[in-house]
Amino acid sequence: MMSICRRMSSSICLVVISGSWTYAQTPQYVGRSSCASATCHGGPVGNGPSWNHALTKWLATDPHAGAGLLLRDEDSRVIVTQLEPAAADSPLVFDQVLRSRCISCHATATTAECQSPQALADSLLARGVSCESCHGAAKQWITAHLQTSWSGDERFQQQTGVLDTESIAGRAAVCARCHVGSRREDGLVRDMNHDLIAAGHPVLRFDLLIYSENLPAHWNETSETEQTFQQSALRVRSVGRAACLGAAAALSGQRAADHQTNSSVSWPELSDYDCFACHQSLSISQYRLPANKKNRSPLRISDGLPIWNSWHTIGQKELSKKNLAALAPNRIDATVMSTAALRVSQQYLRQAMTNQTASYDPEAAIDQLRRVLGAAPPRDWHEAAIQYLYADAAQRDLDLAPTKVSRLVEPLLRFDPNESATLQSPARFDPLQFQTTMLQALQMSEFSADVARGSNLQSGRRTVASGRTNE
Amino acid sequence: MATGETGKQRSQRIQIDYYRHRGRIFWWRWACIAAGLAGAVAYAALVISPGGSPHLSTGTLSIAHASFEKDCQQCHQDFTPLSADAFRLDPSATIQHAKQACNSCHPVGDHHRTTLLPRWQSFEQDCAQCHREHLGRANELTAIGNDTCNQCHANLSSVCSSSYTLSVRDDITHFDLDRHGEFQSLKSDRGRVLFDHHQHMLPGQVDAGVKGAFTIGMLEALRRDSYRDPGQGDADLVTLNCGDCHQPAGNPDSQWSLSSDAELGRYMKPISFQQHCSACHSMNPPGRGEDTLPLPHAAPWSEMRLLLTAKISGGRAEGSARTPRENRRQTPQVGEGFGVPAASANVISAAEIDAAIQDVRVQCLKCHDADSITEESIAAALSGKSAPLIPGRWLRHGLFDHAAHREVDCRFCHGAAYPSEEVSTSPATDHQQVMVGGIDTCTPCHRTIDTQPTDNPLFGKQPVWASDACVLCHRYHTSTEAQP
Repeated sequence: MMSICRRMSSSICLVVISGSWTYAQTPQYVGRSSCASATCHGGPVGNGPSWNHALTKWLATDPHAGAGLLLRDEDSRVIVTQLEPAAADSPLVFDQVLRSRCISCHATATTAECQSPQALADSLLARGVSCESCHGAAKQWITAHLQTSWSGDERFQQQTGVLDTESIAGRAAVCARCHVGSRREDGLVRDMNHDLIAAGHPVLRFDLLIYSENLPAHWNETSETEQTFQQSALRVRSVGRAACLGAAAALSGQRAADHQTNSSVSWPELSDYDCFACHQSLSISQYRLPANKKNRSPLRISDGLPIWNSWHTIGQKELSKKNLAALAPNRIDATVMSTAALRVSQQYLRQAMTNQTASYDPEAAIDQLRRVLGAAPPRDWHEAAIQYLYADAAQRDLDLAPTKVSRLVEPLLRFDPNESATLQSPARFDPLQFQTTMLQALQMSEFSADVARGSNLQSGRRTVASGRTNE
Repeated sequence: MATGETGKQRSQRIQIDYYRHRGRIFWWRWACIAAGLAGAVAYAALVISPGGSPHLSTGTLSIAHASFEKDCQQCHQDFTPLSADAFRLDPSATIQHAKQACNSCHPVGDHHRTTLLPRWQSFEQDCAQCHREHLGRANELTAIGNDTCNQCHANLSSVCSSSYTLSVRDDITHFDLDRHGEFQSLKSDRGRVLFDHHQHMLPGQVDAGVKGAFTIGMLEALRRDSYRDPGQGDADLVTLNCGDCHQPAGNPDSQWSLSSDAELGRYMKPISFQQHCSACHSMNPPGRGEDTLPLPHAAPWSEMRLLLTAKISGGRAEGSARTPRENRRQTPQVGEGFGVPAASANVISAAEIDAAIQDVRVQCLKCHDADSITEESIAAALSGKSAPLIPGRWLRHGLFDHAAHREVDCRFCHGAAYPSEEVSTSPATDHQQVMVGGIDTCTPCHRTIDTQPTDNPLFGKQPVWASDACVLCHRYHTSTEAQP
């Protein structure tokens, strides 16, 4: 159990150990400026090891650096005033909304800063989501991390306060604190719920592999620990999805638990469920379920009973029907849901660890996808999206980059041909076209031809060995 | 009063015309007068004869004043009586003339004149009390014996006015701890720059067991060779020695001292961030790479804002930095694709610059206190009006000559600056202590000749005896200009 905890962020670890929604301790930050010395992490980019210029590079290139100041732009104004109309006329009310709903994720903030009734200083926002948001509040470990003895899994003990960003499961758990959500980590509520989505905040569809690749690396990409991320995309995706499901379950359970003691915490929380189950265009004439296919809509969206956390749950074979049923919206007993969510969270946090050391065979994964898709098109956009993610990962492991599915299939999943993030409807999605195109992209003959053309294919990588190289 | 001699007896003893007789005394007196006159004439003849001029002077002038050898009036003046009907010399006028003569080439200030009793004030003004001329060409005018100083300093309170409170001890007679006392300047550190010599003297500037050792490769490319020891590669640790930061210079206060005190090597150059610190401690704006410059040291904050704005804006303009709301992705997000470029390409908010300024400010505070980095303090430093944060001289009352001690290992006097297992690297406390040895580091060599030498391997080839004269370290004269 401790080995799991060493690879998990603090309160998720508490969940695993205690079996209850335990609050993590309030973080004690030292601030990013403490890391910014040229001899520490603020050196010139290009000189010396990556750690020496990690902050310099992060400040210039990482979207997290500017995440706080986004809260002062026009999109933020629209969201906040939708959320709280009084904020339109009162800067103080506006700032209080930012404090209570936004800065726990968009900045590196303490519990007190999130709860303060004062106006919100821009300087707090300008900190961005800085070093300690992802590496843990450093007051406890800033001295220890200088020691040569500071290595190995022991660093990630819960009491040190340092977060594990080196293992796949650990990094996924760290990202999930905001990109999935949490209500206990660092004593902060990081809950991007339905109210915020309704006000205009983008839906969170976190995928560790995609987000990692889009994050400019301020670390050594050739290090031994980073090799574990580059060995197998299937592994990263499987571990990441299991960890995120564990985090999503924890968030659902915490919402239910908190609702029991605080009625202002909305519950059932609609963002726990598949958006498209409810958000369907009523103007479309096809919105009449065929008499013989009550569970299938021509719009290719899940309907009837919204699936709990479909982005995370689709393809998770280990998720029992019992637990899934307990999490369904027709079971509005907060206690039952909290208990079921705890079970799912524990199960998938462990599953993430198991996935981390499992073997992955990309060709077998492609065969399986071909069989599934050969039998039927995906039931909805979410299922198609997850199928795409696994197909893409399998082809990456066969050294096809950009993968055929990425080039051919990914555009079929886009909500908006113009690639804006504002339109979030799968109304254009055509499962049959997806099925045809995907099967075409997964044709083994073409696949093999592509492999043959790829000069860098390493034979040993077709079946990715289990375990990390450094273990 | 009765003497016992009657008038009759006296008249019988002294003849009535006694004054008309020329006795032996008379003739003896005239003989002496005649001899004197003859001697005077003979001496005058000798003096005015060729080769007789030495008889007019006690000796030739020192080599410094040799050009005045035939020009006595440069220093001496015609007889000046005390008053028109008197024949006594007016000493004050003579001294004043001599002093003016000296000052015409050697303008010097007083030596605590106002604190002295009146009769010692005239002493203080009399150059010849210490600098005695006409003692030959080889006479060293500035070689003032300790006994000269001791005229006052052996009992200083006796020469000072009673209203004056002594700032030095009353009875300094010899150069040792008991009779001279510890150097006053060393009792407190006036330094306001936090620094840890111990850490900087360690290989890689880290203690054993600590990560993050600084390597040559972590320095800027153009600076690496300056810190590279013979045979070192980029992966080797930066190893500093004293000379990397402490380079010879003259006395920074030499305008108030002898010109020779300004000779190179007596003191060390002031520490300069740009020269001595920036190779490792450059202040880097966000995204700074090898091809861009660091932020300048000690720039006014208003200028720093502008520079940071330019740096951030420049990085975004050339594509090395992310623009706000940039939404392009390398890997497409499911449902959203690759995203779209940011609509507002290069807008920098005041808060963003404030945060960058805060990062810089925290870096400043690693070494400086808050008072030293105010806009006013920076302006004063740039104008040269404020005292340097690291003094150029630590011994304010005495002089030192590093070049003269070049054979002595630095550790003999500055042992506290060297790494030792007892010294902790954090927090830095060097600014709270003066890392200059006290009088005990001087007296093993600067001692009276009859005392025993002390052996120490750190002396190297340095001779183990040196003068203990006061004037070796102390200068009597002050400047005619007001000192800061």
